[in-house]
Amino acid sequence: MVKTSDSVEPSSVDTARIQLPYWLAGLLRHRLSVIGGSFILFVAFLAVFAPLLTGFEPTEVDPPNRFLRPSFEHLLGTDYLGRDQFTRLIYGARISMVVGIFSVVIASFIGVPLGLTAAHFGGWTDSAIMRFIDAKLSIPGLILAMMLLLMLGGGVLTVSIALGINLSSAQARLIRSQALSVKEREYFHAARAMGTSNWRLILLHMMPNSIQPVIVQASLGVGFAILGEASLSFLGLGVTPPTPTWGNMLSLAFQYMRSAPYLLFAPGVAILLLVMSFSFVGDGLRDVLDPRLKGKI
Amino acid sequence: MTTQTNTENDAAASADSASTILEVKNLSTQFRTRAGLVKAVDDVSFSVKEREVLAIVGESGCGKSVTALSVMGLIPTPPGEIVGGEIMFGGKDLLQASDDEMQEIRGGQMGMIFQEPMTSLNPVMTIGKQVAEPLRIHLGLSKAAARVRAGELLSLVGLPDPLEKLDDYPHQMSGGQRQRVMIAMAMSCEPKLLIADEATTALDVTVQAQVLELLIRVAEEFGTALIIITHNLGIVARYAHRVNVMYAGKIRESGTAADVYKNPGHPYTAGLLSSVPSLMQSTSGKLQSIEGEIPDLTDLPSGCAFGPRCPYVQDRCRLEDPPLENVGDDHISACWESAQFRGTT
Amino acid sequence: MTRYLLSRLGQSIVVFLIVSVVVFFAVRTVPQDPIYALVGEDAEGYTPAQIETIREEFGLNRPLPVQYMSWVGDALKGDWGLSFQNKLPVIDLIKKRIPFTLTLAVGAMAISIVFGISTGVIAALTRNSKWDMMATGSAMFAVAVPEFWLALMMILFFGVTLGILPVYGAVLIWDDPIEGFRLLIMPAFALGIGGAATLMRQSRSSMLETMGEDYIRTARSKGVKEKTVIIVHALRNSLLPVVTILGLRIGRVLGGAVVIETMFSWPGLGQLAVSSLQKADYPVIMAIVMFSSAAVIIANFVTDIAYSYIDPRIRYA
Repeated sequence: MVKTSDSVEPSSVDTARIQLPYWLAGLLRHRLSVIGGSFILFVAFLAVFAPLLTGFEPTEVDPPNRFLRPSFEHLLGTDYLGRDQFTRLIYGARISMVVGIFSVVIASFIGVPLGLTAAHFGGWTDSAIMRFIDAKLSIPGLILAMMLLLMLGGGVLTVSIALGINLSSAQARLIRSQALSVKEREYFHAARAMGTSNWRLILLHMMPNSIQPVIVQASLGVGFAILGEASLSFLGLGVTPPTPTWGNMLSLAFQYMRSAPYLLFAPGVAILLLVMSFSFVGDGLRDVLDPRLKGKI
Repeated sequence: MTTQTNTENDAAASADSASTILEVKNLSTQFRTRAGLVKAVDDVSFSVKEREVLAIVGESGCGKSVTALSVMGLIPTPPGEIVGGEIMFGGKDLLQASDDEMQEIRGGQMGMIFQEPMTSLNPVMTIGKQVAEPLRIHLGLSKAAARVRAGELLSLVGLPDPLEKLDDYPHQMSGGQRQRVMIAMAMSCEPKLLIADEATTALDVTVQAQVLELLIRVAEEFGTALIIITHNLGIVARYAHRVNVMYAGKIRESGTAADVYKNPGHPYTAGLLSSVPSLMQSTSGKLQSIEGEIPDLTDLPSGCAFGPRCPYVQDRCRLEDPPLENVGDDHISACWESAQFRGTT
Repeated sequence: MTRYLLSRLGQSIVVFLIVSVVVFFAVRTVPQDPIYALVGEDAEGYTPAQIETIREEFGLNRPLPVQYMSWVGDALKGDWGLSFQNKLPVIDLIKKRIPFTLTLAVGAMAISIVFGISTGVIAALTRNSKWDMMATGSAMFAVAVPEFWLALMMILFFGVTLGILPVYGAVLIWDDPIEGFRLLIMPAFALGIGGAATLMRQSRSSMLETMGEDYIRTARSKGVKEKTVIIVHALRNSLLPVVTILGLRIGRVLGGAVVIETMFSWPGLGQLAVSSLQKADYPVIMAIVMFSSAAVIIANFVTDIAYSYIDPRIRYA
């Protein structure tokens, strides 16, 4: 009886899993995903066309015009060196977007092979990999990232690596648990019985059948990476001044909060909205690709 | 009984059958789903007498469980809603009863056993506490007294080492044992009515019979009337006094178990009977099942809902839904063609 | 049960050893030569010979494995070395700061737990109501908001504009309860609100799932009052997955403390971590990482025990 309500939903979802167009169609039906996706595209547009959208340079100093309140000429005002905040904000978007996406790509390139190896070989290999991941997880993320940055030096790539390593453990754990269930399936036993090599087993049978949650986790991970980058540059680590990032803009705004409190808002709101947008899209992807993951990711 | 307007009705009812404990009149329960409105129970009426064993049979999705949950007041709202009818129990219309009144009736005067023994018990609470719970609520027993009584009940339902079982958790027991615990729990306050919703379906065949026998024995001992909900007519034949056959939310046939077996008044019942092995048929025929599928409850066919699957279907069946009519002494059926069809069997 | 606990304990020790080895060697690959933390940026007034003497004094000229072994040996004896920056014993530096970080972490966790679980449960019980929408909506914000920006906003509003809360400094709550509490509010809130959102989501979905379970229907069929159904039957079951998250939160809180402590001039381990990392102060970094890692490992271990205590299916497995 109650089953009637259950049996209604999955059919539409099942078809979404098979064909790609449905996959996108499913996402487009998810209202929050559409809002989030649109905002991400909007920020990406600002970041890419930043030089065309503003008459200022992000590092252009103009001391006479310091601490200007928002006006038509300076949409978001100017900071203690007279730099245009709107310009710095849209140039800062470049860092957030790039670091956010690089980080999850790096995380997947580290986490997926680790998780698959652990699941496929099991035993000691599995224990060793999992203990290393536990060890990594036991060090608070931000402290780990700071240590890695000291070892690797600053810059967009190193920040992405540091944050990617941080995010990789979640990816590894997730794909490991998926792959372990694939390992119990008949088609996997069949492939193994035919003498397929370990590499082919992992790449052709295990990976394609356990990759979906990784995609969902990755889209949620972008948000974490953006937050992480902002925290690091707020502390003056990673991508360092004068390159504008939302984090270091806020760090400066903090120092001058009494004379120019209006500088505190835009970068913070920008981070909040972008992170939220990525989590909306991630939630949407999860619901479309695999509703059973709800609660697990 | 005390309300002015109902006095006449009640008097008539009690004169008619002093021993009727449950009377369901024109019950309709609906569910709002994304696919549309589901009339899970549609204008269903029946009654249960004291100590009677009533079977409600039908395929899954026919509305038998929703009927039971409606009587218990356990329809999840939303999405479900009882949209009409009366459920008279102990002189009260349960549909008008307050939450507090229902809580007193549930577990106290009316118990229920569910299909899934593996998930129907709270996994983090000891068996003893779960069995003692209704005793403490309805009989006001102290913690210690409830525990003693719970132990007695566990031994009554035939669990080995009942006193040790009190401190066990559900996951330490087998499905059959858990269902025995469910019986102990539901019967703990010696209710007037017990509803067993597919209580043995999930169990092993050998265990099924034992649990059913136990259910019948305890019900007899406590003078409890039973509603057995099942899709297994074999069970009905052995234990039930009366049978209601449901299809697509409606009762299609109702009568004493013996009558319905000997002389089914509805092609659907006949179909169900022929799908039971070695009960009606001797050895000759192979096991038959009813052709076709259960209709979509959001989009029922016009006329008789069983029409599309019925071997005796006529034009009239496709247009008009047949009403329940007498086909024998205390035996009703909803089929336009029942006379013809009964002639052929 | 005992076997399970022993194997978990063994795992924890292995993990802790891995952390110590990896961090010890990793810290030493930092390109910055720590000797300059000792002698100043440009080593003014030191001859190369003197610098070598200092290097030997701190044991920095020995092979790394030897340094590691002696570090472990000393650390077990309670000697965590001297800080390169001010030559004070590391153990004293840490000891002084642990109470502050602990206060902050406990405050943040308390806020996460109290706000998160209560709103989550209420949201689940009033599913699709205004309450639910409000709680779910705020959680969406709270998960995405940067902790330090939330702190900035609070400082601006409560500290600067209204002037009702102090914006920096710390007093231990047992030294001066009122001032200690006033100083704790903003940093603890900034640090705890993200966790509250996570816990809210988890407890909401978990409570919703539990309320649909068969045994909840069974409890109702016994005539159990709705309040009792929720508190006795549903809550304990639905909190099981929430407990697991709690253990993981400790690591997040300690990481977040790095930023929050720096902002509020909170003299805890996070603040020390920032200054030590900038100066490549190995002994202090090692100590902080080992301490936080130990805290996380212990928290997870305790969570596991708590979990198995609440869930008899694990206890008797």
